Amino acid sequence: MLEKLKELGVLSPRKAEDYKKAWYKFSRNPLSIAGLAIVILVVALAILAPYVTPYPHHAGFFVDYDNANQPPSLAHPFGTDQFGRDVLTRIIFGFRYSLMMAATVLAIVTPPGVILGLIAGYYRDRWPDIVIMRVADIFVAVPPLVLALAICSVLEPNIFNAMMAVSLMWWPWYTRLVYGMASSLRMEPFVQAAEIVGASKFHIMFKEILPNCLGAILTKVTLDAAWVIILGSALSFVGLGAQPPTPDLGTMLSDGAKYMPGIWWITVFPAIAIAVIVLGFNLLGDGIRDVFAAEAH
Amino acid sequence: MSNDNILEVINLKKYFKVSKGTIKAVDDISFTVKYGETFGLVGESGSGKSTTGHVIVGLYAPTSGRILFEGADISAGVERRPLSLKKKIQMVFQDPATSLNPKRTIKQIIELPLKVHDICHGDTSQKVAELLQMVELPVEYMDRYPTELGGGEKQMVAIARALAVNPSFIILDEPTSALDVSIQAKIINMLMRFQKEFNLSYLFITHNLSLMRNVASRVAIMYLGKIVELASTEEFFYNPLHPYTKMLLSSIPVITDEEEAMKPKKIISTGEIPGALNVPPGCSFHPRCPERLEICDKVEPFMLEISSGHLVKCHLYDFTKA
Repeated sequence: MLEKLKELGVLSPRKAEDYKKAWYKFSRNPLSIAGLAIVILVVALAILAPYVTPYPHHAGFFVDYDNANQPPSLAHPFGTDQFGRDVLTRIIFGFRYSLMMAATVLAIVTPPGVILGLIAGYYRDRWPDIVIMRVADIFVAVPPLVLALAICSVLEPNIFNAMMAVSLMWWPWYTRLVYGMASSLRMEPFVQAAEIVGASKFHIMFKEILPNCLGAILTKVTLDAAWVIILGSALSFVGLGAQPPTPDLGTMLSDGAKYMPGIWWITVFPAIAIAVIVLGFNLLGDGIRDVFAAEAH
Repeated sequence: MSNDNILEVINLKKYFKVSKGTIKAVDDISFTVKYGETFGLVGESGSGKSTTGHVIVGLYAPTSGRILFEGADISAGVERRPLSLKKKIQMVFQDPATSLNPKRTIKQIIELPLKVHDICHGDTSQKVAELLQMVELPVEYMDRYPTELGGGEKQMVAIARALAVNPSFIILDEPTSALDVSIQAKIINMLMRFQKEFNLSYLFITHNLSLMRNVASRVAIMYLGKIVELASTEEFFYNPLHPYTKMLLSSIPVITDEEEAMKPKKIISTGEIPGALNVPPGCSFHPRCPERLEICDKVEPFMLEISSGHLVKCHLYDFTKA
């Protein structure tokens, strides 16, 4: 595919070479490839859910008591739940909510977290550093799950409030990551050279320092996707996240738990699904870290 | 009188406060750099020579003292300096591996000064290509990243970046000490050529004394933040006065007997430069000095002008007290 893009002139030969090298480093670890495959598969299933699931209409509110609690069979590979809905269909639709939650939270959290970290790191030991980092410390001190529980129980428990609550607690981790890197990078001679020549602070922060942090940020985003998915599922599990009949993996777990261990498939398959997504993102994150760590040497 | 000086450093001090006390990195030094000359600032690691360069270029504001550039006071830190001043003073760093951003292409690196100072409008490719040719690098390097270049090539890019703004004064902070010997000569020759071509003044910071003999017109030697001897290069090498200078000169390795004869008689180097936190009292060199007097550990010597332009900071030459 790279070759094609190169021929079309979309990709400069040099960039194509860079991607090739990065892919080589990434692909040397089979676990990274497995992680990438899992993430691609889950994302593809989530996007194409209405077309690939056997019973798309089972995703939402649907009742078919005649077929309730059927064990896994050819017609229902993961069985059916207490309302007769196909568990496989609901898991695949559940991927949508998990991924959407991860994507939304990380999209909200990363830009402000990174920018605040850049500013605090660049102005190390001066007032922007002190103000930003002390506020970040306060937010870090509160466990995300506890705050999310508090917010969702005071406000209406729904997936939107859950995402806002998690986002509110998550940005300081990006601020801290970038702060550490920026405060050491700003002493690098290439930053000093830019200062000597009179480059603007904007240029120094975003064009000189930020590009050197992107690898670490991308790694963290990937690893955090797994954490946000776990957190979202946990909120749904205790009834403060997605509400029935939304096919959320956490909701499915808590619904099915009542029927354990006899009707195990309602619970076990969503649980495995969560584990697989989390594992996929973790392996992918480790693979990305390998690529950038190798680059740093 | 001062109009043939491009740079005047007067009683410059730079102290750093650390948890264990105060580090006097640069402690009351004065020197001048004339238009078009190469002024060599020599010292062991930790002598404060790089800090001096960093203060002059504005990366640190001085603790006290004045820096005059073309007669104007420029003692403020880099943030307070006007853009027009940043155009005139540039710096080449020791290690080109860290002075070029690994995430930016050679073109992006060299065009930054062009853009900041609005030197060429629109497409900068033409000007960047000229600069690359000037430092004898292929124009194709434009789209490469620094990691793809050799050490010497990277340093040439750094030199091209410094020259992009047409500066009048360049601080060379050990520009060759991180490079292979074969490339060092090439870089030095190039720097000397540009000096003539563009009428540049250099402050050449180095620990390499033999290099100074070839490139500098005047040399100052620093020890623990102070200048202990300052002289024209010829005076410095043929008539060294300060015991520290003699010690350093006698420790330059030479090959022939002829060269050996030219060196001051062998002085065994003893000890190492003490930490900057516990500078010895009196003359800070006295614990290592082979010719120390009784007064040396009590009273700090003054700078004495022994002959025109030859200054030394040593009690041995203070005949008023003898």
